[in-house]
Amino acid sequence: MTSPILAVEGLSKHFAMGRGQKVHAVNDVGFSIRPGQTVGLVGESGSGKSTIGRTVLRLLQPTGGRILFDGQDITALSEAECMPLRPRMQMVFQDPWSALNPRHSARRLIEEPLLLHARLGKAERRERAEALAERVHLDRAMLDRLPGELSGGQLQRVCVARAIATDPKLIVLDEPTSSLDLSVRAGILELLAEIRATTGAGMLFITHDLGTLRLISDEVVVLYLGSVMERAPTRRIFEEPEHPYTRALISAHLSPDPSHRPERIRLEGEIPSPISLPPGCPFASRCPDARDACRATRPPLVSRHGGSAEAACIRIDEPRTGARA
Amino acid sequence: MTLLSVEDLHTHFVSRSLDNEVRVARALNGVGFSLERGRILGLVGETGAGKSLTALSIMGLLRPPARIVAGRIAFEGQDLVSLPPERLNALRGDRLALIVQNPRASLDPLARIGEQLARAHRAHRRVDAAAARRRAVEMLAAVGLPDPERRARAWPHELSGGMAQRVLIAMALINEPQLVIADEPTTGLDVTVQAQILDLIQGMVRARGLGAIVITHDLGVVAHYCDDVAVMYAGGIVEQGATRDVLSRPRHPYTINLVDSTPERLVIGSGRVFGGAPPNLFALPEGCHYRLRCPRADAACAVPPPWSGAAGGHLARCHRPEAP
Amino acid sequence: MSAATAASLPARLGRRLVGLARRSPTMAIGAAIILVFALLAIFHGTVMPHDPVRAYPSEVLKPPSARFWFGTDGNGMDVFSRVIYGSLYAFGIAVPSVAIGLALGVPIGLWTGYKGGLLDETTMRVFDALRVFPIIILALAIVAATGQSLANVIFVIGLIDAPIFVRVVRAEVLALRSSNFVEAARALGNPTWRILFVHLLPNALRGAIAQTSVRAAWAVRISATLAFLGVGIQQPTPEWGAMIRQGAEFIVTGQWWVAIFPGCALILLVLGFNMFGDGAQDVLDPQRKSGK
Repeated sequence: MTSPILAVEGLSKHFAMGRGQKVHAVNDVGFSIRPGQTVGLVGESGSGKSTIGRTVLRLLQPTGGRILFDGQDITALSEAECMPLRPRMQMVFQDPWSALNPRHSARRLIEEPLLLHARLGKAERRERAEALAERVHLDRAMLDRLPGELSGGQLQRVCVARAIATDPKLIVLDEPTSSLDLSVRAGILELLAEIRATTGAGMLFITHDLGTLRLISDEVVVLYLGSVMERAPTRRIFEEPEHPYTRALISAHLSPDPSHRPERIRLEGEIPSPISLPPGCPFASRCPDARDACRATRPPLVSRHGGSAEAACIRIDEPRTGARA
Repeated sequence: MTLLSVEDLHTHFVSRSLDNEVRVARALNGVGFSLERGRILGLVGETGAGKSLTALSIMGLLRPPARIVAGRIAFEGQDLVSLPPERLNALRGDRLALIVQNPRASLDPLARIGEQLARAHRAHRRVDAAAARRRAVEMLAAVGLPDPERRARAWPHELSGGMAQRVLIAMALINEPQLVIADEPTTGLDVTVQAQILDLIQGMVRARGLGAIVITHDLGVVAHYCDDVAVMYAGGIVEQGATRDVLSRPRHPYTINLVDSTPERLVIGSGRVFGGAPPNLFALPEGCHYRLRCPRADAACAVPPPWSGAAGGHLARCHRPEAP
Repeated sequence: MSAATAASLPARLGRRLVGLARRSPTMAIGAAIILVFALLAIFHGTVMPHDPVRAYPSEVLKPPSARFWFGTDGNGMDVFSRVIYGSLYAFGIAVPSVAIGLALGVPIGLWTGYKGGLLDETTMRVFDALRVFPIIILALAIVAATGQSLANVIFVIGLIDAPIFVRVVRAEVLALRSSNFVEAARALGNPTWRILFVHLLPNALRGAIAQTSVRAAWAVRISATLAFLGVGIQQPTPEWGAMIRQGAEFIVTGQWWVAIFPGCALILLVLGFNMFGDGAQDVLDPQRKSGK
């Protein structure tokens, strides 16, 4: 098996809030991404998925754990030391309008990574930028326009072009289609699939939309309040979810097919605050199957199905009946 | 009597450009649909299609430079367009209610929740402060907020997104309206919370016999909660009918595109092109407004397309719609 | 084709100006006032009927007449010509001093805004401390200490302007610092200097530009005040403040024109700068704020 391009172990990130309080955004998260593999990071608000995306790229400094990028330990590197890594690990942001400098033309924006990292002459840079535009199916005529003159889909293509300009080995995508209109999303997803096939880069796809997740990911990591609840290949997550949270999440997804009406698992109860996390399972306060043992100690992440999956639930192997105490 | 009947509604934005020229954006072009009690109509479309604008036009909440330039909005038999402002104001919040987007930003940050609800109630009913407060707590309980007495004393910033949305629903329903319009009620909310909110709205509609319009860009919401759906593009409705019909067997090319582009239906690598440049409302093409993006467009489309389909049933506005 | 475009360009420009004027009449009026004074300053040689420093000993303190439109002052010099020449001084002081303020304030604002932390805190507290001093006293003290010359006045005003530009730029940078496109720039691998000057500066400058006009107004007023107080520029230099100083003595004895005319010119130009700055802010901001 090829060694992973990204391996995250026990990653934690806490934000100081002043007065001694901390937001425990990410707690002991681990996963890995192989070259050419797309791992989907899914969770609701407060799950910590965006924070993980940024921490993995060292835009934030981790509070604990290890990040191994292409075999190198990048956990404790300074900002300056991270600089040479940038061309090899890139990010596509959720909101293309705010991610691009509104005063630079699309051409200039796409040339920027080349300007920063590739030693090319001006003419060569221009040529490469045009080739990149073609690769992301952006009409050449759009290159001289400003972001304000481009549509959401076109802007996101510019962002993708920037991200692949330096041939990165890892691309983190933070909700790349969430701000876009429905009809535009399909085009961007197709583009991403194409990029994945042609570059062999590893992708971390962060989203809250289950439909997109299913389409694009090979493996899914389900997060809740900063911890991993379940990790499994995509098919298993959607067809045979095991963790109670995953099951509730999948059942809550509304597919556009009116005849498809899954049995919805309703969640009641309050979401605990990330500042004062409960000692046990973070999901216990809303879990329909929670028991005292769940609330007492944090359930460990247990390997399942021959190592291809993991889940953090102590009741996971109990037979499922209609009523569970 | 039909609860709401919108007929040939035209709303324009008239402004002056920097070059001192008059520019007209034709934001709504002949929108027409009807709504009966006890039913939920979904309004879908991309950004700029005119969904929110339709809601604002119905509620009479347009601000210059937007104005209704033609059309009729018959609510309980009365034409809202020709109603004097004071009469319309009396109806708003009483018999017609709007649940706006972005709940946390829509609440007054300087007043407690219970106070805001009581205000909404007293604007339309002659009750004293105590009665209004009781009613507020009643509504908070009705929308499923635990411990409503305590919640009534909470400040808006203490609420989560889902709770704030429930408060807005309570505020909309406090005077027992006949028509409720919910503008993107679940956008920005978590998936697990989304279902709860939609269940709530649907429950209210069925139990109290209201009519509701849900504006959304999420086809999943439409599929599971809306009885009927109207698909909008460039300020006009291109297809409408029972949800089951429209989503399972779409007839208009735009709807077909929309349904096929959802992740559940998308086939990666099929080479199909979805979406396209947003329509320029200042210069819409002659005839069918979807012409410039339509894969089936031909010379015949330079003429405004007719409605195809049985009246009151599954209709598509197209010269060459898919057969039903 | 080219003839048509050549003909339409002034027409389009004209329409654009009318469009702008409609959008903000304040800005238009302010611009007109500034333009008038600027033209007077540029073409002073042609417009002045007399030499501004030529004394007519026989015509001392004469009221406005056909020969001396604004009358003459205590030295027998034509007030009208002196007022016109004074606009040259006004611009000559306003422009360099604001430029100095910008040159000093903008980089400091960028740097402290971006870096934050102790450096930012310290700098801002120093500026806060400076604000305790009444500006006039501060200016007086510095000019008195360094010597009464035009260059010193310009420099002092520029120095005092700098903290305001720092504040404005810093505010913009603070707002932009955690925004997505700065984060995206970092993710792309931009070094800090590039983030500051290529990405932040153009956006942060917007706020500074709007301030420029207002600071120019202030510069004109302050230099006049200093001259009036007897510091900085002195007689017989035809600077409005100095002229008002001299004229102040004569108001009591009835020769109002010596002080009033330069006074009006001062008020008008300051008003013009302020109106332009105000209006420009209205025009610039709502446009830039549009977008998704």
